[in-house]
Amino acid sequence: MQQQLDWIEKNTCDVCKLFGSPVQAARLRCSDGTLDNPAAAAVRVRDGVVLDRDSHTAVDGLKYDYETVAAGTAFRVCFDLDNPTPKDEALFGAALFEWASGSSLGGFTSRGLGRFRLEDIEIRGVDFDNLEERVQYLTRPKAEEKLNDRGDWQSYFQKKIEEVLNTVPAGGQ
Amino acid sequence: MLRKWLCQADITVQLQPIDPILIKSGYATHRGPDVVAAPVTLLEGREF
Repeated sequence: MQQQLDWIEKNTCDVCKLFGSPVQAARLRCSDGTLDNPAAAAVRVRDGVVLDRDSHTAVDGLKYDYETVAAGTAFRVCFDLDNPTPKDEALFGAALFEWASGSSLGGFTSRGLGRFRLEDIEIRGVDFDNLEERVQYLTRPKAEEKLNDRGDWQSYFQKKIEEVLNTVPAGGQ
Repeated sequence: MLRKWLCQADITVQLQPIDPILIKSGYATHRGPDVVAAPVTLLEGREF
C-alpha cells in the first residue's frame, strides 16, 4: 500500500491531488449551490432556433428550449478541503482569487450567459494538532461552532500562495 | 486503509450571477421544442 501511495505522490500533479484523479480521491469537496432567497428565484424558459450556416436563416421546424436562472439569483456554496497541504491551499486560493474577480459558468457563454463572481467569502478551519481547536471541535454540538474563523480570506490565501511560491524555484514544479 | 484526519478548511462563498446562468438545455428536433435533462443514465447500453 505504501508503495502505491509513494507512486501516486511521485506521479500525479498538484491539481490531480487537490481535485482528484482516477488513482486518488479529491481532497476538495464542493456542496450543491443553495439559493440565498428561494422566494425570489425564477427559472426562465427561453427558446432557440437552429441556424442554417449557408443561408443564415432559421431552419424550419427546428426549435429548442433552454432554461436559465435570472442574473442576481445568489447561491451559497461551500468548499470543503480535507487535510489540505500548503500547496493545496495555495492552489485553491489562486482559483478563489480568479473566481472572485469574475469568471463564467455553464453553457451558452458566447450568447451572453454565465458570468458570475464570488462575494461574501468566509474561511473557517480546524487544526487537530492544536489542542484547543481539537477540544472545540469535539465538544461543540453545532457544525458552525466546531471550526475557527481564519479571518480575511484574501490575507489568508495570499500568505499561503507566497509561502509556496517562495519554496518553488522559478519555472519549477 | 485508515487515514489520519489532520486538519480541515471550509470555505463558504456566495455565487453571484452577473448574467443569467444556463441550468438546462434541450436540443432541436423536428417534433418541436424538447427540453431534455442533461444527465442521462445508461444501464447495459440502454437509456433510463
